Amino acid sequence: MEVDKGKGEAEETRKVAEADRDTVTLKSSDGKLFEVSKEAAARLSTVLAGMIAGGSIDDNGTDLKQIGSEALENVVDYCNKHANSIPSAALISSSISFNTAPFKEPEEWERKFVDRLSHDALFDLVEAANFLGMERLLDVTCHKISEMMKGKSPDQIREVFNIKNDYTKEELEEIRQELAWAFYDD
Amino acid sequence: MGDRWDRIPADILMEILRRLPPSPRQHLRLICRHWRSAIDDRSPAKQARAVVLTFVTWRGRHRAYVLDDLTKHGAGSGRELKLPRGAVGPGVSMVSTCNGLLCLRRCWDGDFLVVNPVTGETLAVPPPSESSPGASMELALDSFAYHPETGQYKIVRVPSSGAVKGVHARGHVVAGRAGARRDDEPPP
Repeated sequence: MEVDKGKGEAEETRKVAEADRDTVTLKSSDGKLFEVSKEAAARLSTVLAGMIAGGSIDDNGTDLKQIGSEALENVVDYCNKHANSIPSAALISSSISFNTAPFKEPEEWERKFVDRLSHDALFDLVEAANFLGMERLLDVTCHKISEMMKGKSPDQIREVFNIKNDYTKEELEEIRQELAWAFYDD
Repeated sequence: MGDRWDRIPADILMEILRRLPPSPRQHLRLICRHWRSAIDDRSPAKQARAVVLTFVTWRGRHRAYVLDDLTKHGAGSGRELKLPRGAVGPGVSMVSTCNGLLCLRRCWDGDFLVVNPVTGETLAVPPPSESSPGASMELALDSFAYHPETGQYKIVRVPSSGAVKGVHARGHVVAGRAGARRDDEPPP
């Protein structure tokens, strides 16, 4: 079985998890296999939790055709780091106490986790998190992307994210006029 | 990386954008069509477009106008509203406008008159009981406002001595008229 030689920490977790035979094997779109703690996967991903509960996990590697190996490695890495860094009891209590806050601020390690990613990897991870129903990872990645927009003009944002401006001059002027007179109170 | 954004569902784009403060977020409508529609589709419904209601006195004549479409230079339209009797006499001045209602102060009658210029309805509101009509009224500052929690309109008088003397609440009658006002869109 081909197991990706991932990050050191992830590797260590994987060994521990393998010893307990408490892992699931996930297969990326390009056929690479990754092992992840069953507990962490079920806790962090609603889709994986459903597959585990429904018995549709394949021991030879559950196909995740929508997710490339780089993104899947990051997903698995995130799950394992999460399992290591936060005991589930602490996670549960924190999610209750911050329930009323609009957004849960990323933890220090989560910031570092997304900070090291390239733009491409970050966007792939957003897609993967969305596909797998990983609310927390989606929170952290969306937070990172919004931070990249903060304090930037529309022109700068287009440049940073390489977005094509598909407006005509007249349309842009019209939107500017709307904005000049608009007040927002939300 | 432009195609990256095409693969990000609009809901996720909004997840990202709603972490930004509202005003900068609205400015992101300038980015491209996709972002604009994502923002517009998922923003709370806009309130009916505000129009300006104004009350002017010139050469002893009082007039009320609604001004529409201030966004277009030179092309904004205005319309004079017919003021009901009682709102056009001498000694009338404006306290304030609020939600399309005019609150006028009538120096000679010593009271207030709340006017809905669209329907022509009026409501005379006597001054605070402890103050006598006449000279003291000239020295007071008045304010007219809507309190959204209670649904009431209030006239607040601050006399020249500085202490808030009296508060008038004539809520629901006036509030109902404001509703009628909102349904009546001024012609373009």
